[in-house]
Amino acid sequence: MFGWRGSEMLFYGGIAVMGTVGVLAAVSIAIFTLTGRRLKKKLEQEYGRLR
Amino acid sequence: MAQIIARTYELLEKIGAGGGGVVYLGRHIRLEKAVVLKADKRTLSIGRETLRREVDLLKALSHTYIPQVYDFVQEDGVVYTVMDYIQGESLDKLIARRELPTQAQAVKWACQLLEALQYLHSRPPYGILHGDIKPANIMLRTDGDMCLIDFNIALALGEEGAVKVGFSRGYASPEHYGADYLADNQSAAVGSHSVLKESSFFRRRFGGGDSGKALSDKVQERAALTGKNVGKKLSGRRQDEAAKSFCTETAVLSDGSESTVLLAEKSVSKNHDRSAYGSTTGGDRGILLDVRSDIYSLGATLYHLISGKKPAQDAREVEPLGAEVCSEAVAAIIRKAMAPQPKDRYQTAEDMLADFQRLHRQDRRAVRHRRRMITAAVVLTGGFLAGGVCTFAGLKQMEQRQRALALAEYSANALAEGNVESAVRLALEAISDEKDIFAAPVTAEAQKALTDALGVYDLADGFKAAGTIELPGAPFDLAVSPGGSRLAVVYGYEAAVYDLMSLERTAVLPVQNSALADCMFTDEEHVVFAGQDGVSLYDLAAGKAVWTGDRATTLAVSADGKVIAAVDRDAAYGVIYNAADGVKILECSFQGRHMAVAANDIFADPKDAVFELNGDGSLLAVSFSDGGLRVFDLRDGRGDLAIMEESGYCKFSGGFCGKYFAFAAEGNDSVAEGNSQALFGLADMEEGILTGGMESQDGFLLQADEDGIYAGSGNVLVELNPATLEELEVAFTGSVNMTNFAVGEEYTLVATEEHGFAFYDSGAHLTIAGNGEQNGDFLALGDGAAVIGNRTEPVLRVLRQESHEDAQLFSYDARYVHDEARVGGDGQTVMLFGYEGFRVYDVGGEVLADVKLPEADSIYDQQFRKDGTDSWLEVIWYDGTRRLYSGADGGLLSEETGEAPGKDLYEEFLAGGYRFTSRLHEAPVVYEEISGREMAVLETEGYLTYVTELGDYFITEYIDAEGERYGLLLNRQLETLAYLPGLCDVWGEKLIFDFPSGNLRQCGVYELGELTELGWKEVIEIRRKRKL
Repeated sequence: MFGWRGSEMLFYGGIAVMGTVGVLAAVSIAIFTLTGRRLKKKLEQEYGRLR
Repeated sequence: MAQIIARTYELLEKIGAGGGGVVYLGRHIRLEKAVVLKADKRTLSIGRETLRREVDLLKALSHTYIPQVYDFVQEDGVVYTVMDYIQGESLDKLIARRELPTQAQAVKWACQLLEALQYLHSRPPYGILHGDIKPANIMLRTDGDMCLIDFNIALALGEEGAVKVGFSRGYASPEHYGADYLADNQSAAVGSHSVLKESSFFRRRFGGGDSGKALSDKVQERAALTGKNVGKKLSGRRQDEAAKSFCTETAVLSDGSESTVLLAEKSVSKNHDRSAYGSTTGGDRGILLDVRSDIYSLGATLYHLISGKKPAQDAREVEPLGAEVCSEAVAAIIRKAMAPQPKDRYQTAEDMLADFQRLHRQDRRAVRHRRRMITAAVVLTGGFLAGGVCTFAGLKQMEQRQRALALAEYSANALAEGNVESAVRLALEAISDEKDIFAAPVTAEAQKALTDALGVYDLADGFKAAGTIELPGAPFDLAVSPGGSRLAVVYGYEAAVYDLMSLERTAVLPVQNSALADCMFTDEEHVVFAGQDGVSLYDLAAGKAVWTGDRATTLAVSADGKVIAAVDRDAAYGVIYNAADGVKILECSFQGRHMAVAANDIFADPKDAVFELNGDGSLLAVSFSDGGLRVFDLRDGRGDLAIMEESGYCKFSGGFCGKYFAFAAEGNDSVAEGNSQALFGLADMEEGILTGGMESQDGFLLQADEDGIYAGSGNVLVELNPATLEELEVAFTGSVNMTNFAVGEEYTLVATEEHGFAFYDSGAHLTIAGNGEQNGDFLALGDGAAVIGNRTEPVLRVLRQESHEDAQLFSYDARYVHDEARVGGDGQTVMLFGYEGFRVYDVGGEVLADVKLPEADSIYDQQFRKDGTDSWLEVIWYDGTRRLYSGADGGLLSEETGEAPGKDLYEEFLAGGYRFTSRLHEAPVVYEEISGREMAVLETEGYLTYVTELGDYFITEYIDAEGERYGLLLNRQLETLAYLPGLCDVWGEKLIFDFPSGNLRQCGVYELGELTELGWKEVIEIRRKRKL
């Protein structure tokens, strides 16, 4: 691909993977934070606030 | 009312009454604070001291969800307990109004009550049991928090140890009732005598031994007494009266629906070892309750609170709470708290509280959410780490690749300098033997460097680079021993002798501080040199000087090695020595003349003058600074020959060959005669006459010794027959002029302009050509070795003669001119062909066919084609005629006339999924066969003629502008792995090479492992030779 050698593919591929994982991590954190808050609210409605 | 109690409290109003006493709302007179005063009826039954201890214990309690007991006062025989006034209402009132709390509220209250219970159960020394938890005994404060009230029946063990215990039906645990099913359970032993046996609980709690047993005995005794007392009390009254009497103030404070039955005395333990507790049912059976009874009651209270339905008195008949009432998790907690058997309940309030507090955490949605987060975190972390590892590995591989490329380049440079060992070592270093992820694959450049350094595909006979000799300084002169095994080199202040096999220095000899200082061999074991103390003969085997003569710089040795002539710089005489013992034979006067010496002889060129002895040392030729050249007869002087008395020539060279003396002289622009700048002459010393000569504008290069007279000018080197003056061409350098040469027995070494050098065989065929960094100022051919040196570099290149007879496939007449050689499909014939014609040989060398092609000038192209064992030569003429000739016997197979071919010579080759295209005057381009994507541009120096796929390799064959054929070995990535000089065919898995010497040779493709193995062997072999 692109005339790259194995080592170059490893290097740039690794960077791309790390970048993608970073973006996915940010998205995941946002989603989990949101769903976590909603769940916490639901649980507080059902069981009350945690003491 | 306004009754004052103990001059401190004012009773304001009666707010409740029950079996335990009357409850008043009061006021602390001084503090102006509302309090509750409870007039305890039990004074009569349990004694004032006991009551005081109980109240003292309660006074020590301080908890958010428990009312604070302040005081214990006595007035008119009534004991009052003073405590906090709790504003709010009891939960039973809420239930009565059907104002049921939400689940969240119920959970919150449950946690508060459990905290209160946890506090009570943990009070020293043995904990306090509430004993009658029910909605009526739980106040909902105005701030929304709980308060656990009514401790009149709560008790703690004192020395007397017991108060009466009541229960509220539906809320009380089965142990309160002494239900029959408990009797079936071995875990709850019934009966005072069975309860009070010494148990593991007591052993653990009190440490066993006497103290534990004593306490056990005490409790046993107390339980017995209690049972007896209760029995007595109950026997004196009717059961219904007793029940009524024992319905304490709870009944008063509540709506009457809940009643607390004062049942029995109890012993309290926060511990709950099964065998440590029991119960007394009715009035005549002692019971032991523990914290699990409170837990049951709290569970029942929560049950009622959440469902609005009072739980059944029989624990086994309690209906489970459904999903419409509360969540499954809450129902499970309540179910567990109300388990009929104590062992199945929560064992402590902490456990139950923990379960409530874990409701959020253990909810399946929370669990699922958490699991998803963990999964995502693990996956993402794994992905990030994998990416990091890939990046790091890629970086390491790129670093290693760059290093390998640099080493491969260094290797190529070392090889160009002739340092084979270094070239091999660097190439091996460039090929990593590591196999982990951080190791880059072996680069094609490294493999090519190793292949080139080893020369495995160079199957031509001749001289190949063997190594270098590093000198302390740039050389002034060098000489090879007559046998060719040793080399003497003169550099600043020293001469050194090297073994040409091992390239090791065997002797270092101090010489005159002059560039003219000579060092030359008399035989293989002796060397004569212009030593600092005088001319010396050195025995190489003994490692010492044999003799030392007068000071001298320039030396000459007769061809037989027996006579030595020496002259010191510009002295006007030469000294002749007997080589064996150093005896002076004579002094040869130059008649006042002297040899040419520069003002600073450090920069003089020792090769610019003639000082030569003939074969037996009887004649001495000397050139002089005045341009004269004279041959002295050392026997009697009668044979002296003045070749030139004086002239404008300043640079001389010459030597004896038998009776002939050949010389060359070169002048400069100021040559007086001006006819020419260079002169070659030949003198017959027996006749004393000049027998031949010639002049040229170019200089002459001359080597004359007993082996022959060789003269070169421009690009031609000839051997001159002195008797007939016939010339035999020895070397032709083509477009470049030669600058130096050395003639050996089999080969002639020629240095050319532009730093080139070349070897010619005895047939004047060029065998090997190369290039160095500098001109070949010094050339020497020894026994199987050649040495090339330069005046400005302290390095000598050594080349060694190699033969590849073992790779021989076929020999043919080297004089037959042809362009290509191909092996027939069956491997039994060889066809040599060109535009003029072709020959077919069998592998034994017999000519099977010799065919001249018609109209050779009109031939467009020739292709040798194979199909299995069949092979044929296809010849195409410009007019479209196409003839096929058999590769087996040369016979004409077919002839047809078709469309005239185009003149672009465009060709395509399909191999390994690639399409190789070749156009005249353009670099070949490789495309992917399917996608048509351009993959690589190949060799730009030659025209691609054939492509063969061989395993994982491609063999590409080229012809360059000078008609030389060669091949390149490519890998699947189309990278060049090896240069294949002279490649002419690929037959089977063998590469076939055609050499002008009339030899076809073959070898297979070397895998990387084989190359590295050969490389290490080469390094070890070189080092072994050096050690020898």
